[in-house]
Amino acid sequence: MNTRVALLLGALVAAAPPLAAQEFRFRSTTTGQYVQLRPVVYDSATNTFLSAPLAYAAPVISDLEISAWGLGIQGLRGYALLRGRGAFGSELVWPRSDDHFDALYAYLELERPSWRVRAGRQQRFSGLGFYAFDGLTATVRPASTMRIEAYGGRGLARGFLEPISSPELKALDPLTPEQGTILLGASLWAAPTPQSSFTAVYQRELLSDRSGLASERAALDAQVGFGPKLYLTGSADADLAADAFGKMRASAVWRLPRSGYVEVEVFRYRPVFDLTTIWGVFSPEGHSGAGASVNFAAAQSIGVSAGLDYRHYSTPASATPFLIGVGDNTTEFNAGARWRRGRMTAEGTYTLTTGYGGGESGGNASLSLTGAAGWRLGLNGTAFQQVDEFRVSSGTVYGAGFQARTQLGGRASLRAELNRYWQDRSQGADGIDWSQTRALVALDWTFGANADRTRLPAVP
Amino acid sequence: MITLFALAAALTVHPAVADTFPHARHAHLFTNCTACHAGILTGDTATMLPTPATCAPCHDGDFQRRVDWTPSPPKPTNLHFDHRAHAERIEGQGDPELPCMRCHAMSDTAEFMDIASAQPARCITCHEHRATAHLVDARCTQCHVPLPLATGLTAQDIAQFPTPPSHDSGFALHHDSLAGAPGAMCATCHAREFCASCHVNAARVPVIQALGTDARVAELARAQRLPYPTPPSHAGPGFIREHGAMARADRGATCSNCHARSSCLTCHREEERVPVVGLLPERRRGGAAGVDLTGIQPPDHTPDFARHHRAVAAAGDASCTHCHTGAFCASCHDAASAPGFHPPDFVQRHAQAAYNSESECAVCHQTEAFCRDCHVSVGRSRMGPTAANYHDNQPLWLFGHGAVARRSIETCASCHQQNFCLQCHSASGGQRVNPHGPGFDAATMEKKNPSLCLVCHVGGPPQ
Repeated sequence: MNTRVALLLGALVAAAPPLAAQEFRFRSTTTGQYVQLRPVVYDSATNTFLSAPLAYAAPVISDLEISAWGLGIQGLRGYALLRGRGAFGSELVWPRSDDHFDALYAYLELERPSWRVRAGRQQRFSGLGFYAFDGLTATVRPASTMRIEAYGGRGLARGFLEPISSPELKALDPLTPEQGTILLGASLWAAPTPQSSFTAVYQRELLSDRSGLASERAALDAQVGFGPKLYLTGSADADLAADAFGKMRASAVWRLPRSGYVEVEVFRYRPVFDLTTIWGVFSPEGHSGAGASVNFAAAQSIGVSAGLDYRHYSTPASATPFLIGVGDNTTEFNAGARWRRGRMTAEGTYTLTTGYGGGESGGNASLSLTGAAGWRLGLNGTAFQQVDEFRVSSGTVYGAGFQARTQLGGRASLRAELNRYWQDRSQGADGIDWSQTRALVALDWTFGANADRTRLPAVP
Repeated sequence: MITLFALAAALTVHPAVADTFPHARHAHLFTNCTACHAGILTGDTATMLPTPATCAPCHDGDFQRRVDWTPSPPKPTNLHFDHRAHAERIEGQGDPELPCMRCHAMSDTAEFMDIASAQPARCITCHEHRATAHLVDARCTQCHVPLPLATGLTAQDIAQFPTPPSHDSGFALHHDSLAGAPGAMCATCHAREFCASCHVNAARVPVIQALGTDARVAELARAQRLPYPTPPSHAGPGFIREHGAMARADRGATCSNCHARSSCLTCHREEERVPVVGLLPERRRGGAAGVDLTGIQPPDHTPDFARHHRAVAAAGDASCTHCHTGAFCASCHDAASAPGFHPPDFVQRHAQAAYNSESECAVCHQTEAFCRDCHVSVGRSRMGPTAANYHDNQPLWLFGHGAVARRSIETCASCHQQNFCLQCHSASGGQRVNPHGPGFDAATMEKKNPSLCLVCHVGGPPQ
C-alpha cells in the first residue's frame, strides 16, 4: 500500500507542473524525543521483579502534509499526510519506531457546492471514534443544514493503518485473523435549527471473505443550545455485533461571563471490541458516573476551576472463590487556578483520585512568559503520589522542567522541552523506577501557497 | 466605526473664520466695501485686500498710530465661487447699496460692516434647492467642486472637513444607498482612495471607479486604517453555517466589499479550491487590508470546547474540515506523534487513567502495536508461564483476577496476548475455564462471526 501511495503522489506531482493554476502547500512537523526509562526484569531466583539499568529511546517522527489544488479541474484537490519514523541509537524500541513510513491520509477529492467525492486513504472521525480505510466517500449536501455521506473500502486496523491481517500485526499476536476487512458506513448530519444539530452514523466491518462480521456499530451525537448560555449535548453508541450499548454521555453547560462555564454530566462506559479478538467474549463490564466542573474568573486576571467525577463500576460477576477484593467506585477531584498578567501566566492544579484501580494525589505548577513575536518560555514542576492496585509502580514522583518556543520568521517555529523526574519508590528496589529525563525538540515548517496567511503583516 | 467617521469628518468644509479686522469700528468711515476691496469685483487679487498704504491717510502716526501688515493670500477653497458674478446678481435683485452684506452680515439685522466670513447657511437661503441645512440636504455640487479639483486644499484642510449628520454610526453599513444614487455627492469630500481604503473590491465597483483619485486622500487613508463594522447578518446564530450559501448567492460580490480572499482562507485553509473563495479579490499592496479574521473562532469554540468538541466533531466533514485538516486532528489524536496531548508525566500517570477507563485508549492507540510493544520493551509484559506475583504481589491473583479483568480487560490486552488467556480459558484445551459472563449470548455471537467461536470451541461448543 505504501508503495502505491508513493506512486500516486508521484504521479500527482509529476502531472501538476504543466497546469498554470496549480498550487500546493507543504507543512512539515519533525519531532525528536529523548526518553529515559528503567526497565524491569524478572528475577526467577527470587521470584520478584527488579529494576534494570537506565536505558533510553530517541524516537524521531516527521510528518509531511501536502495539499495540492488547481489541478486543471475546479474543485479537485490532492491531500496527503505522510509520516516517517525512526530512532537514533535507541537502547529501547519505542513503539512503532521500526515502522518507518505511514500514510495517514492520501486521497484525491472533487468538491462541488452540493456534493463531494473523495477517493484514497482516509480517516473518518465520528461518534464511533477514528476509523481508517482505503476507499471511497461520497457526500451529498441537499441543503446547508443537511449532509448525507456513504463510505466504504478496505478496512485498516485502528491506530495502525494496516489491514488486521497484515504480517506486522500477525507478528504481534498469532490469533489475528487471516482475512482483512471491508468497511462500509453511512452517516447523516442535520441542523434543524441554528443552535442544534445531530449526527447519526452506522458502520459495519465485514471479514473480507464474507464469513462474518468484525464489527457493527452505530452512534448518535446531538447538541442543542438554548440561547447564548445553555448548551446541551448527548451521545450514545451501540455495539450491534454484541447487541449492547457502548458509551453514553449527556451534559449541560451553562456559560458564565468572561469565558467561564459550569458543566454537569452523566456518562456510561462500556468497551467495544471487534469480533476479530476474543476480548469481547469475556463479558467486559463498564461503569457509569456523573461529574460536575466549574471554570470562572474570580478576578480580572485570575481564573479558577474545579471538578468532581464519580464512577461506579458494576459488581463483577465471577464464580471463583478467590476473587480479588476491589472497590466499586472511583472519585476524582481536581482544582486549579490561573493568574495572567500581561505576558506572564502562572497556573497551578491539584488532583486527587481514590477508589478502584488505585489512588493518586498530586499537583502541577507552571509559569510562562510569552512574547509578541511568538516566543514562549515556561517553567513547570510536579509532584504526585501514586498507590496503584494490582501493579507495582507505587511511589512518589517529583518533576521539574522547562519549555521554550520561538517563531522562525513567518513560516517556521521551533519548540523544545526538557523534563526531569525523580521517583521515590515505596517498594524499595522492586518495581518500576520511573526516574527519568524526557526531552523534546520539534520544528514546524510551512511553505507553498498562503503558507504565512495567518501571520500576514499589515499591508503598508 | 468611530474612526471611520472621524476620517469622514476629516473630509468635508472649513469652519467660519473669525473677522480679524474691526470692521464695525470703521463703519462710519466707509459707505461701501469696494473702497478697500476693489479687487473683489474686478478679480484683481492684488487689490482684494487693502495694504498699509490704504490706511495711511488716517493711520499716519499723528492722527492715528501707524499700522502695518502683509495681506494674506486668498484662502484655498473647494468652492467654485465667483464674487463678481454673485455681486452682479445681487445688484440685479435690487440691493445695489450693500450687496456684500447679503452674504457677509453677521445676522439678518446686522449693521453695515458688522460682518464675518460667508456662512454656508446664508448660501442655501438663496440657492434654488432651498436646503434646510448646509450639511443635511444641501446639494454640495451647487457650490463645491469635486475634491480632486480643489487643488489648493492641503491634506490637513481635508482632514478638518465637518461630518454630515447622515454619516452616523451606522452609515458605513448603508452608505451604498447614497453612493449609488443618481447625483451622488460623495466626490465633494471623498476621492477613490478613501473608498479603496476599506473596499477590497474597489477596482470592481463602478461607483468607486467613477470618483477621481487624490494623493492627499491617499495620504490620509494610509495614515489611518479604519475598523470594519460588523453587519447585522453576521451576528445571527446561524451565520457560520449559512455564510457559504450567502456568498454563493451573489458570487461573493457582497463579501468582497470587506473581505479579501485571505479572510476566507484564514479559516478555510484547505478550500482555496472552492469557487466562491477564488472569486474574492486578493489583497493588494497599498489597497484595503480587508477584514482580518486572524484568531477568529466560531461562536461554539468557547474555552470549554476542547472538552465538548466531540458532539461537533462527530459530524466529521460537516463542520471541522472546513477549517481543519486531518493533521490538526492528528496533532492530538494520533498516538505516536501527539506528545502534546498527554502531559509529559503521563507515562507515569497513565496506568490509573487506563485502568478505570477515563478515556478509551484504543481510539488512538493500537493495543498490540503501541501498548504491549512498549510494555514488552520495558519488561512489564510477560508472555511466559503465568506468574502469581506481578500484580502487586497478590498471592492468589491468578485465581481471583476475573473481577478485575472483566472490568478492565483493555489493560489486560495491553500486556498479554490472547493466547496467554487461552492457556486456561479455552474449551478445547488448557484448564477449560469458561470466560463468558452471565447473559453471554453465544448464539448471537456465532451468528455474527462463527470463526471467533472456533478459536476456543474447535469442533463445536462444549456439551
